[in-house]
Amino acid sequence: MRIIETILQNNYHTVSIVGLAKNAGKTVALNYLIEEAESAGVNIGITSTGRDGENKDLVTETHKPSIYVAEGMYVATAKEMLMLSRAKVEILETTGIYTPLGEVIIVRVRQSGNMQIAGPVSGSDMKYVAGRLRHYGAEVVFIDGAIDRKAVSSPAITDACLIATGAVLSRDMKKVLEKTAHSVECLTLKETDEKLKKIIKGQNKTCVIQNTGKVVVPDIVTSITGGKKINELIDENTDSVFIKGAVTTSLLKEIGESKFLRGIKIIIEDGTKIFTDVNVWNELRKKGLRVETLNAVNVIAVTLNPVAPAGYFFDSQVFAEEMEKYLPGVKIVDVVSEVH
Amino acid sequence: MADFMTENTVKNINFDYIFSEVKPITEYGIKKKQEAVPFRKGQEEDLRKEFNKIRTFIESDKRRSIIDVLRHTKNIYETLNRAKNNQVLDEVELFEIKNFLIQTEKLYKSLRTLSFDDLKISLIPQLIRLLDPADEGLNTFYIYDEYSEELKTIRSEKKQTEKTAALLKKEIKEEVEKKYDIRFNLKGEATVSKSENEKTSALSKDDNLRISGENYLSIIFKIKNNNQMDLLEKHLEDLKNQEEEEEFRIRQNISQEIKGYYDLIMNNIRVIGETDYLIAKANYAQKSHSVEPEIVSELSIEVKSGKNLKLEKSLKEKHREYIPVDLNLRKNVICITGANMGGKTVSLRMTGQIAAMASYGMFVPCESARLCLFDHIFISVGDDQSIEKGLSTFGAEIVNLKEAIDYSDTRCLILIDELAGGTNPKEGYAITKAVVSYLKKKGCMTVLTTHYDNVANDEAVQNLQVAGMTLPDGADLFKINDIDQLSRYMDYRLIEVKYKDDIPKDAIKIAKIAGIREEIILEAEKIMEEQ
Repeated sequence: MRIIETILQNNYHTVSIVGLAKNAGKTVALNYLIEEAESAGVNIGITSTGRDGENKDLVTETHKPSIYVAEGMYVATAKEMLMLSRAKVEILETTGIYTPLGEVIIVRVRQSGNMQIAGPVSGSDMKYVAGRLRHYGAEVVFIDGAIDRKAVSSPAITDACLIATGAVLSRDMKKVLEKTAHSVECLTLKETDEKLKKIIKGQNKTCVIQNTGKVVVPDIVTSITGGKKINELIDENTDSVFIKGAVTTSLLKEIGESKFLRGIKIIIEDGTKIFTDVNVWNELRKKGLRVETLNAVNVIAVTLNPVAPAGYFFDSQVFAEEMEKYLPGVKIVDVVSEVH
Repeated sequence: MADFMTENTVKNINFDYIFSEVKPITEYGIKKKQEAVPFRKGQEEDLRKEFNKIRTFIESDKRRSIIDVLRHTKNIYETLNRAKNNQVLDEVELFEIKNFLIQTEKLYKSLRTLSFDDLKISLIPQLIRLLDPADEGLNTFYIYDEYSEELKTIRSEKKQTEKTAALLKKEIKEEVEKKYDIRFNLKGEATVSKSENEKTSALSKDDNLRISGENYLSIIFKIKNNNQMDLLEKHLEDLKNQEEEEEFRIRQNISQEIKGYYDLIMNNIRVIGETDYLIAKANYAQKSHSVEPEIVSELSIEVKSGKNLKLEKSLKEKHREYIPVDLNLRKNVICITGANMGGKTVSLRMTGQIAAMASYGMFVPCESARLCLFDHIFISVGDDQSIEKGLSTFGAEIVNLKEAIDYSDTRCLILIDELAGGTNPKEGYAITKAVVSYLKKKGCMTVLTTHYDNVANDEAVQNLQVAGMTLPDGADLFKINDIDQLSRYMDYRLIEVKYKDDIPKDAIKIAKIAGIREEIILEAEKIMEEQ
C-alpha cells in the first residue's frame, strides 16, 4: 500500500517528516510523498518548522527544503521565501506569526514552481498554521521538520510522522540500523493504561505513583536534575514514575540505579521527549527497565537514503532488508533508489 | 500626560492601573490611546461630545460587529507610506491593502447608523475593484490574468511550453528505460552496477544520457537535454522573465493608484483608531460599572457612591467588600478630618482618580457624578516615591507642597494627605493653617486631610468628617482584638460639619482593638482626661 493511502485510511490530517540527521533524505521523502499525493488527487498543504533562537544570517544559511509546489497546493512559508519563489501564488492570509525571514504567509499555488519553505518555529504556532492550511482546503498537511526538531512529530502537534534515515548516520550500517530502531522504538512505546493516564494528567508534574494509587511529587525544579530525588522515592511499593518533559541520559541513569528497577515502569509524555544515549537506554532495557508513554506517535513509514554525501553508500537491497529485520511491521521505503 | 499629572500623581491615584485597563485592539487604537491628552477647562463641550459617543457605543447593537472588524484590521501604515514614496508594493502588501479596504467597508456600514460627524469612513470602491479585477468577492489576492491581455497571453504560452517540455522529457525517459531496462528515481537518476559492463558502456554512449555520479560499485546516469529540450527550456525562461516584468508593471500601476487615495485611506485609519479607542473606553466603562459624569463649569466635585477601582479589585481578591463613599466638594479648600483608619486617604485618592478619569474622557466608577474639569491634578500622600529617594517624610511633603502651590494660580486639583503631619504639632498646625488661608483665595480646589483641630474653623473652608466608629452597644474592644475586623465597625461616610473645633478621637479605641496592652490604654485614657 502506498504511504498516502495509509495516511488517508487512518484519517491522519497532519503528517510530519522528521530526519534523523542532515542529508538523511528528508526532502526527497517529502517530494516522494507530494508526488504520491498528486497522483492520488489529494489536496495537500505544506509547511516546515523554522529554527528557534537563531539570528537571520544563521537561518538564511541553513538549508531550507526547496520544494516543487504544484498548482492547487496550499503552502505556509515566510514572506522572504515567498518573494524569492518563481511559483505564482494567491495570498490567502497573513498569519501575524513572525520568523527571522518575515511573517508566515498562507498561500495557494496558482502556477507551479520551486519554493523554499520556512514555517513557524513554535509548536503552538505550527498547530495553528496546520489548522489554517486545513481550513483553506488541504486534506493532508505535510510538515517538514527541521533537523533535530523531532518535537514537531509530537502527537500534540501532528497526527503521524514519517522518519527519514540514511547512510549519513554512520559508515557502519549496523549503527544506522540501531539508531533508527531506537528512534522508532521511543516514538512508538506502549501507551499507558487509561487509569494511570488519568492519575498523571491530574498531576501534570513529575511524580512517583505507588501501588495503592498514592502519588508523591518530588520537590524538584526540573526533571533533568531531579534523578537522585526521584530515585530516593522509589521503593518496593512503587508502581510507576512519570517524567514530565525531557528524559536525559543522566536522569535515566540515576533512576536506573534503583534496586527496585525491575518492579517499576517509567512513563513519559511522548517519544519526542527522549534524549538519551542509545547504549545507556539499551543497557537499562536489558536490566528490566519498562517504559511507557502517555501518547504514542504514529510512525507511518521509515524512508531510507542509502547514499551519504561523503561518498560512501550501502547496497539498497541489503539496507532495506536489514532495516525490516530491525523494525518488523514498519513500512520501509527506499525513496532514493525506490526499492520497496 | 506629564504636564497634567506627574508620574507620582498618576501612581498615587492609581490612574496607571485604570488606564492600562483600557485596551484598544488595533495598532491605530493603541497609538490613539498613547497620544491621548486630557480635556481641560474650556473643553467641556468637546468632552460632552466624547461622552455622547461612548454612550452611543455602549447602547448600540453594532459594537460587537465593529469589534469583529477591528480584530481583522492590520496595520498598513508602513505599506501605505511605501506607496506614497513611489515604491512598488509586493503581492503580500497588496493583499493587506485589499483586506484593509474590505474591513473598512464593513465598518462603514456599522458606523453609518451611528452618524457621528467626525467618524465617517470614506468608501473607495474603485480601489477595491482594482484589487479584485475578476470580481471574485474574495479577500485573497493574486496578480490575476485579468490585469492585462499580455499577462494572459504570456501565462497561457508558458503553460503550453511547460506541458510540451514535460511530455518530451517523459517520452525520452520511457524510451531509455525500455531500451536499457533501467529505472529512474524521483531525482531523475538511474543507478547501474559496474558489473553490468556492456550496459554501462552503452549508456555512456547514449546521446540522451550523462553521468552524474560514480562510486566504486556503480555509475549514476541522468537524462541529458537534447537540442529540442534546450530550446524549450530557454523559451520557458524567457517567458518567465516576461511574466515577471509584466507583473512588476501591473504592481507598479496598482501602487500608483493606491498612492492617489492616500489621504482618504489615512482618514479611514484615523476613524478606525478613534473608534477603537472609544470602544475600548466603552468596554471598560461597562466592565467597571462606571457612569457618564455631568460636566459643569463651576468648581465642584459631586460623586454618589464613588469607588477606587484599584482598591476595590485588591479587596475583592481578599474577599472583602469595598464601601463606596459620597463626595460633595464645593469650596476652594476642603478639609477632611476624622478617625484614623477612617478611609481619609482612600477618599483622597478616589477624588483624584475620578477627576483624572473624567478628564481623559472616561466614564467614572460611581452611581452618579457631577464635576468640573481641571488643568492639573496633584496629590501628595505619605507613601510618596520621593521618600524612597532619601527625603524624610516631612522633606518630601514640603517639596510636594511647593510644587502644588506653584500650580495654584491655575484651575487645578490639589490633594494633600496629612499636611505637616510628620513634624512637631505646633509648627505643623501653623504651616497647615497658613497654607489653607493662602489657598482659599485661589482659583484651584484643594482637598486636605488633617488631624489638627481648628484648621477648618473658617467659613471659607468646607469641613468634612469621617463618620467614624460605630460600635455595637456594650462591645468590649479588648475582646475584638483584630484590626482586620475594624472595617465592620467603621462608617466611612464623609459628613459635613460646621465650626466644629474638635475632631473625634478614635485613636485609642483603635489601639484597643489592635490589642495594645491594657495598662498602656488605661494610662492614655487617664492622660486624655487630665488634659
